Amino acid sequence: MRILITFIIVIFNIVFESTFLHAIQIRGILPNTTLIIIVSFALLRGKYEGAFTGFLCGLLHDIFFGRTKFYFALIGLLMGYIVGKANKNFFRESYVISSIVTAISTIIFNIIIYITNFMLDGEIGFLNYFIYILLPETVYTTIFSLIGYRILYSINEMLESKEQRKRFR
Amino acid sequence: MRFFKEYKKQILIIIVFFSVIFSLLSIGKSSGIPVISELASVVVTPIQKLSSNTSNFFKDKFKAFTSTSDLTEELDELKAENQRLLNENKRLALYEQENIRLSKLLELSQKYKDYGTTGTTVIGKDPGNYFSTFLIDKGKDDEITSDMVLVSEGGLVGKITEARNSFSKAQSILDTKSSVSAMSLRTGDLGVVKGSYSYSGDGLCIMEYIDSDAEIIAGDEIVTSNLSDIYPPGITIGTVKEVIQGDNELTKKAIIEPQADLKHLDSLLIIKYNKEEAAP
Repeated sequence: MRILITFIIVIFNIVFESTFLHAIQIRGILPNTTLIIIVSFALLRGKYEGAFTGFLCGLLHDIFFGRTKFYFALIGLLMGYIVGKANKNFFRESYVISSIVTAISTIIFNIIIYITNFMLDGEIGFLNYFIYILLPETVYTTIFSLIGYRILYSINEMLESKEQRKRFR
Repeated sequence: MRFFKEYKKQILIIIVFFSVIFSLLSIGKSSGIPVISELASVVVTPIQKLSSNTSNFFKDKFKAFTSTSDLTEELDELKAENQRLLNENKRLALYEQENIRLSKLLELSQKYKDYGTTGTTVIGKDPGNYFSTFLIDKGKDDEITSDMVLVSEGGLVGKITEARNSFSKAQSILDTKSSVSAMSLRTGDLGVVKGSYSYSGDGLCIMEYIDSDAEIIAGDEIVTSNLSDIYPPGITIGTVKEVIQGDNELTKKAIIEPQADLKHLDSLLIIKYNKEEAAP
């Protein structure tokens, strides 16, 4: 049940991201909903499920838009794993923590992409990358994560209560 | 299920290991992961089509409500232009016949041929902020192969990078990894049109490696040159917005305003052009 719902969320995300989300872009910058999903799953469910969700999201992105296979899958897996390590240390009810973690992980995610894609290219300096892409994306993603985290939190709550009922029966 | 729970860590390490190997192997290649790709595309592509069609439908409906007076004005203008184009078309058809007759006389082959075209729709765009790739709803089943050229509103949009069975991946000319051999229509100066981060936010691209002696000025029309392996010659790319001095004194750069509206791509035309077939 949980695996099925994870699949549905991930597939819905890639469709939503590549079609509807473009209607609300600001100067070509979109919020990174994939990262919101990875961070939420990792915070709510721990490192292994975070890593799994990250791998799945990244793999779909690679299949449809990537030029190197398994590249985003690997980054997603790492992000899920690292964020998931913090799962035990935080109150999951808090809006503040989820948005701070999302902001930090957006910055890390973008720096990884900058290092692996653009640093040796010489096409764009880090300062330009920071101003034009990293900063606006971080702000936009953090605002969006408030909504996204709430939705995923309630889905998780529902699933957990169902699983508990099954266990006590 | 218990197996997965017990060996979580080992499974994770194996996945990471294989991902690294596969990603290193697939750098620069446009072949997909055959089985998973097809499976995912069977599930996702129809939903994507539906969802982009719905969003386009609502966009059109809202447009109709907000701008009726503009639309009637535009309709009048278009009618006038249509009349003018019909007249011109008749005149040009006569020229074409004359051209064929004369070149037969001189035994020359035609320089600008008609290429086969197919219409297509954009069904998804790259959600990331780094690249400008998108998906279109025609694939191998419609005899589409990679390196075919996409145009819209008479301007160059990009090329297809990977054709799958029911959809294809395409790269826009705003993408920083794209480069198109181009020339100025008025002066014949050559250059390379590339995507650039500093300008792609405004939907502009940059033409590099222009000779410093070139007499290129703002307002010049830029078309694809005949040096390219992929792009057929004579497709309009855009107009020069500004000419700037390059990093050294040897070359100039020009900021290009593309003719096609690359930020709001919707329906496109695929040109079925193949250099090997076209070569005499």
